[in-house]
Amino acid sequence: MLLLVLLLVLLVLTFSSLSRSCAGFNCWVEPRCGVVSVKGKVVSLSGAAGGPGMNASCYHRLYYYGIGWGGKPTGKAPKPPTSIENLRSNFSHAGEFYYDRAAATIEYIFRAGETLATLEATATTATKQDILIVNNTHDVAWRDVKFEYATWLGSSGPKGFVDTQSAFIYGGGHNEAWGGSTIGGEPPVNIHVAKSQKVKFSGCSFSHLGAVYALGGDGGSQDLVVFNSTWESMNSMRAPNMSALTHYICVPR
Amino acid sequence: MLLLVLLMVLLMLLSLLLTLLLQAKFTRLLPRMEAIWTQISTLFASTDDALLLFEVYNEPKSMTAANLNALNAAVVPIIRKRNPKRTILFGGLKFMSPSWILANPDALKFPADDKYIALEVHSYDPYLYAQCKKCPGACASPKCGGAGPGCCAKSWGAVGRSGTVRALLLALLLALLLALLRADFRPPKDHWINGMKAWADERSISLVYGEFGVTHLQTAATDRVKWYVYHRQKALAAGMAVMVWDDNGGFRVLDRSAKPLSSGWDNPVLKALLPNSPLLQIKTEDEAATLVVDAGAAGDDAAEGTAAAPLRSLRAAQAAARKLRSRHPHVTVRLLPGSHNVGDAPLRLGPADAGVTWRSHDSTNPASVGAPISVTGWRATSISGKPGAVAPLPANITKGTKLRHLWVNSKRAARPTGFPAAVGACAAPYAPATNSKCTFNLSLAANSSSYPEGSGYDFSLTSIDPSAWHNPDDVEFVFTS
Repeated sequence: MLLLVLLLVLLVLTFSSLSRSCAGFNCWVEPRCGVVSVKGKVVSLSGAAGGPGMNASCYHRLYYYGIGWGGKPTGKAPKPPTSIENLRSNFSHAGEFYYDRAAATIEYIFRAGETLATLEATATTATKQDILIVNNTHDVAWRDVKFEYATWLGSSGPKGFVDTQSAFIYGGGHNEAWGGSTIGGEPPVNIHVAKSQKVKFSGCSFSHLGAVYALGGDGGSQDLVVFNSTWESMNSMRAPNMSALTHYICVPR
Repeated sequence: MLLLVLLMVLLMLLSLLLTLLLQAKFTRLLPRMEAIWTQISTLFASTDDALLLFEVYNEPKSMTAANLNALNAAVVPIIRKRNPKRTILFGGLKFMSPSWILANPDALKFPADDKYIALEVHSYDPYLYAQCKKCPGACASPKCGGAGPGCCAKSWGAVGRSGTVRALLLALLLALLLALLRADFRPPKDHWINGMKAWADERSISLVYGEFGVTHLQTAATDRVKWYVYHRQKALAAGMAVMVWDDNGGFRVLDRSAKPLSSGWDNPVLKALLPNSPLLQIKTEDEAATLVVDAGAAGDDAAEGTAAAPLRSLRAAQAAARKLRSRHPHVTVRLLPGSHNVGDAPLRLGPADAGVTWRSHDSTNPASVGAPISVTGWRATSISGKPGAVAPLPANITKGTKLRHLWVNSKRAARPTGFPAAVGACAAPYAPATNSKCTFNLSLAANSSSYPEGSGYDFSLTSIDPSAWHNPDDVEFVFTS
C-alpha cells in the first residue's frame, strides 16, 4: 500500500514538473529573439513588428504561446522572456565575454586562475556554419580527426526555428496547426551528410561546435556510421541528428 | 677394441642416467604444471570459448613421448573441470615439428571423446630459408644453398632445395635462363602439409598451424611473400587454422613502434595472409594512392603530396585525390597534426570524392578540421571591478559581423545574461501576477487578436531605460522552455 502511495506521489510530482517546465508545444527550442527597435521604453523583437514572416519561434512565444494541440488557443497569456542576453550592464561574471560590435572589441572576465599570460581565445563567425558537407557521394571515411570550431547565428535571424518541430528552420507562411509557421529547411548542422551512402566517421572527436546539431544526415543517406567517437564541449543543442537516415549506427566510445 | 666397447657402455650408462634425471625432473615438476593450469583454467573459465584457447605446452622438447602424454593426461582433466568446451592444443616433440608427428604417427595420445582437442604444429620450412639469420657454413656451401641475403638459402622451392638439380641446371642452362627459373616458384610436391592432412583425416583431429613465418632478411625478390601465400593457401586447403609468427623482430608483420600503429603493417605479407580482411582497407594503403597534408609552413599546394613534399590545404588535397582516383580505387589523405582550417566556406565532398579516406597521420595527435579564428592582442583591463582583458576584433573578421561564440582556454565563454532588476508592479492582463520576474508589460497593438504587429515589451512601469542599452540590436530576449 505504501509502495502504491509513493508511486502515485512520484507520478504526480513528475507530471506537475513537466507541466511547469514545458506546456503543450514549445518544448523543443530555446528561442532568442533579437531586438528590432527601441522606441522610448517599448522594445520590439524580431517577429513582433514583422508578424509571422519574421522569426517564427519568437512570434510564437510572443503571441501564440497559449496555442495547444490542434492550434486551439488556450487563453493563456503570452510568454514573458526568461532572461535577456548580451546586455552590457549585465556583464559582470567570471567566464563571460562581451562583443562590442560597434567598437569592434571583445572583452572577457577571467575565470579563477586565468591570467593575461595564459589567455588563449578562439572565435568563429557566422559564415562558418558548415565546416564539412558530404553530398551525393559514397564510400567516404574520416578517421581520427578532430572536428571543431564552428557556429551558427541563424537562431536570432529572420528565419528562426519552427517552434513546434525539433529545430527545423522556419519556411514561411502561417499555419496555426503547426504552431504558427510551416517547416522549411533542415536543422542547421556543422557537419552535413546528404544523399550519400557508406560515410564513416571513426575515432573522431566533435567539439566546440555551435550549430543546432554537430552532425546531421538527411536526404535519404544510408549507412552513415559514427564509431568510437566523442562529443565534448558542445554548444549544439544535440550531437548527431539522424532523423532522416536509414541504416544508421552510432557507437559511443 | 676393448676400449671401444667400454666407451659404448659408458655412453649407454650416461644416456640412461640422463633419462632417469629427466624423468625425475618431470615427476618433480608435474605438480607445478597442474597447479599452473588449475589457476589458468579458473581465471579464464568465463572467457568466451571463441576468443581464447589453451596450449598445454609450447614446443615440447627434452622429454619423452611418455612424459608428454602424461603431461597432457594430467592437464586436460584440470582444464575440463571449468572449461568443458575450451579448445586445447597438443603439440608433438621437437618443437611441435610436423616431421616428428609424421615419423611417430601414433606416439602422441589423444583422449577419446574429446572433440575440442587439436594438434598444433610449428614449421619454418625450409629452415635455412625461413629462419634466415646467418648461415652456419660458408655461404656457397650446399647447406646454405648459395649466398642469399644474410648468407642463407636464397630460394625455398624444389629448385632451391635440391643441390643436385641446381647443379644440373647450372651446367645446362645459360645464366639468363637460370634467373628465370629461380623466379619461377615451384613448391615441393611432397610437402609435409599433405602428410599432416592425411594423418589428421585418419584420426579426425583438427590441425592448427600455430607458427610459421620468414625473416625480413628474405625479400620479395627471394620469394618471401610467395612463401606466405603458398603456406597460407596450402594450410587452409588442408583444413588447418593458421597463426603467423610475429616476434616484432626478424619475423615482424606489424611494427609496434610505428606511429600511427596502423601504418606499421607489412602490407604485402598482410595481404598475403588476409586477402579479404577489412583490415586491408586501412592497412594496405598503396603509397602511390596516399597524399600527405601539412597545414604548417612545410606544406605547399604546389607540392606532390608526399611525406617529403606535403600539400598544405584540404582543397588542394581534394583536387589531388580526385586525380589519383582515376588510377586507384581508393585514396587516402593523411593529415599531419595541426589546424586544417576550412576558411570561409565548407569543404564540400561530392561524387568525385567517393572512395577517399581522410585521416590523421598520427591518431595520438589528431589533426583538427574546423574554422577557428584566434583572438590575440589582449590587454589587461578591469570589468565591473573584476580582472579581465580586452582585445580588438581579429583582422580576418569583418567589422560588423555577428559573433556568437568565444572559447577561452578550450572552454566556452558565456555571454552576459540575466534580468534587469524588478521595479514596479506587473499589470494585468498580460503579465502573470505570479511571475516574480515580471518587470514590464507586453504592449499589444490594436489588432492583437490576430497579428499583433507593431507591439513590443513596454518597460514604462519600470526604471529600466532600454534606450540606454548599448548595441541594442545585439540584445536578445531568451525564452527558455
